[in-house]
Amino acid sequence: MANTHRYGIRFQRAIGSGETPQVLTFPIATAYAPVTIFGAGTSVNLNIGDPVRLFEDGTIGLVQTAQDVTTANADSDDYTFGIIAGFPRVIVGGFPRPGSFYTSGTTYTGGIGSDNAPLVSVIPVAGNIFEIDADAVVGAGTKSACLAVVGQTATITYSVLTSGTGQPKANPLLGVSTLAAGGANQLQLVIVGLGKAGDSMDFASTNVTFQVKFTAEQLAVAPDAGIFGANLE
Amino acid sequence: MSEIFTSTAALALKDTLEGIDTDETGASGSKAVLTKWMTVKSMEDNYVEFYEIAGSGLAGEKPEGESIPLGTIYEGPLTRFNARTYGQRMIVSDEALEDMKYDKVIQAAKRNERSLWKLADFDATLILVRATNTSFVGGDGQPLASATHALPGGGTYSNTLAVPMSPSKASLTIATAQLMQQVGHDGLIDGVEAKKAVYPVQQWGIWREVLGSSNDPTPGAFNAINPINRDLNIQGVPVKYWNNTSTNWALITDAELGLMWFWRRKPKSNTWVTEDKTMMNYAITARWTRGWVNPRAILFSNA
Repeated sequence: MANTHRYGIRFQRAIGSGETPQVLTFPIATAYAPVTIFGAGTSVNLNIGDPVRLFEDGTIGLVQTAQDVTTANADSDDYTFGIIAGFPRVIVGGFPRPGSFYTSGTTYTGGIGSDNAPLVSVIPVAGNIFEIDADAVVGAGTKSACLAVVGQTATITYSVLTSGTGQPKANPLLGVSTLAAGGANQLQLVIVGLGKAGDSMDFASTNVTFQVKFTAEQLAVAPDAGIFGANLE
Repeated sequence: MSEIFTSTAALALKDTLEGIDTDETGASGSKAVLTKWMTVKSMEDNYVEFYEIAGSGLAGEKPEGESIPLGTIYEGPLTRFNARTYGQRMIVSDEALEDMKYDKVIQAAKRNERSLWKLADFDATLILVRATNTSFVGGDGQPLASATHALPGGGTYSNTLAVPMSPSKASLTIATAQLMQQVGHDGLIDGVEAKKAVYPVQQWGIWREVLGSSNDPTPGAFNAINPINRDLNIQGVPVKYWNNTSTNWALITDAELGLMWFWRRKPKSNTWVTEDKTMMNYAITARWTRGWVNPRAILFSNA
């Protein structure tokens, strides 16, 4: 049987004792137009469950893959700061209200400090465990094969959805083809277990859900090249 | 996604909608079927155990003056059912609870209940999904459906059709004959009787014909009686989550200690507030275990 795909990266639990995650809120720059891959990729809207990173100007944007930098960490993906949990304010019909997605290219006047700036609620990846669906069958397609990748690392990969509310949607998935026993650039997810549906999943199909932590975090306390997924931008 | 804020369902913040299109919620909304084909019990401890004992075989002739032949008993496997806990939590902001204009939008407690009962039904069906999977075995080290279930005194027996067949008068005739000769724990022919048929929903129509027609449903043979209908009393149960196959099926027999479901604790709901964030938590948990002790409880067709 096929597994039902559930969109995005979903908060599941905290490593610490917190029963609900901290949420931080940031504005989106006017006319911000997310794309999935640096310098290329597909234009998408921002949706709940998408991974985001902080820009250096007070705003936030979609994590891009294949970030092009010219250092030793070339071709590294963006570090993830957090996962979108909601949009307390987006502009709909010219006026602000809460919404379940941000429409690419939304323009507004008054700057990010104004009452028109779209806002994003973000659950930081630091200290939290999330669920994410796999983009392909893992190994032999058995429960044992899926359990055997716990501890391995993988990338976030996008498979853009062009249907459903909020489309086009980036649709972040766990890149099964990138599963690796060791760490390397771009492998910013580390698998820590199976998703909550557990045995009820069809391990021979796509969209098996895994619980993941992030091996690297944007603005980590002491980022260095030894942390997988390094991006020294 | 994981928490529910006003933005999660922002179109329900104003009273402008004619209706909400969503799933039926609560336990009844799960439309669970496990109780129709499993024996549902409760348990008082962390685990329960069943012990198989076999003996004493056939008695023998005692020639005059000789000792009476001896019988004995043999120990079989211990089958243990360990209770496991399942649950779900939903987190909803105060603002969402205050501002959502429609009860059917959040209804976190009822959605939790549906989710848990759905999981219970999935979990029960896994027994059928994995019936021939050697990674999931019973007390005798065999999967539920096997041609080599171990007898305590030695030897094996089968609870699967030697030649898988699609459901028909012919296949049920063969299956019934096999069940009539099913052996007991001591390996002697005992016989069990089919009471229910479980099958993927794709087979519902053919089972309705085979079980419900008083005359032979085979084209060209309508003047013959259908003994499956007239002489047996088999209830058909389509199992909707059994979707790793559309061709397998099984008969559930009257053998004791067959497919069982144990509640250690039925679903229990909890609510609490995370004060510093004014987030309401809705949780549901239950404890259960399921499985089988006696594989004679089924006859499986691994088509």
